[in-house]
Amino acid sequence: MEVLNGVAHYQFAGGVPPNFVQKNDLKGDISDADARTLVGQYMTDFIDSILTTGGVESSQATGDYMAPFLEAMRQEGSAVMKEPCNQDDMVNVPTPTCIAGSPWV
Amino acid sequence: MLATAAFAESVVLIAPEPEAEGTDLAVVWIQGANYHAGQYTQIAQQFQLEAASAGYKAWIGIPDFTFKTPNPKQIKGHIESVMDKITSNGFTGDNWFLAAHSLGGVMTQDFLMSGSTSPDASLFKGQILMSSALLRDNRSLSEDDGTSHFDMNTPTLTLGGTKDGLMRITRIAESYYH
Repeated sequence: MEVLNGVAHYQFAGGVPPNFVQKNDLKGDISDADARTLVGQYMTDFIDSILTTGGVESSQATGDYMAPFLEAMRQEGSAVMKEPCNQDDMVNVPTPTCIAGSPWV
Repeated sequence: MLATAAFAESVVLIAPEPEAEGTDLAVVWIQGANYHAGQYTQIAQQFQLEAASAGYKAWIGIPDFTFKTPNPKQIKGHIESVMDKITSNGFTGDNWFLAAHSLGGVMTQDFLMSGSTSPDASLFKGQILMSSALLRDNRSLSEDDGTSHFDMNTPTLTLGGTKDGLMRITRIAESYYH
């Protein structure tokens, strides 16, 4: 996985975006040409890694960018990580396969 | 290396120049909802240039779906028609990849997970998801230690834009967590 800084949804294609995209997308921080170059480079690096070494890991930059999001999910006890335990009205029992809740509640 | 784009049989074919050198690779590129295949010509040509600088001769085929939207009924047939078109135009080798934008990414991963033999899903060595992410249905949880993982066997690159107003970076973060 790689995070593309400043790239919007419509910049993965060209021409006039569909109405739904026009109404809901954000404006990219970088030019369309720069976005295309970024995508081309990441695709090439990925394919080259698959063909030469058999695999690829996310970059450190992506890991750094994602770190606060993951911490927010952990502090929230977010259900996008696992299903909520919902074992008890008051306090869930810590269980590996479900989210007991926010660590500070 | 400049690409040549040809429109025929609802497939945009972006073939390398005849004098181009390098290792052959082919990408079947699937559109997002309400896009034309032709709207991916510029970005596919840029990828072709970047691939050429790394020593690859890239072929790209982009099918056009009915009502401009990729769908489960047509995905296998369209992938097959693109593979046929790329092969009949001179592609050699077995370096097949899938690329997809937005809703197209749902179709490519469903295709890869389907175990399809015609076209053969196992021929694809990787997929690239742009403004798309591996589906929640495609991940499992270990009953032993609670760790989660995606069941997708095909190596997958997810590209998420920080200014994407549809496939938001928080959804990409969720995928990154798993």
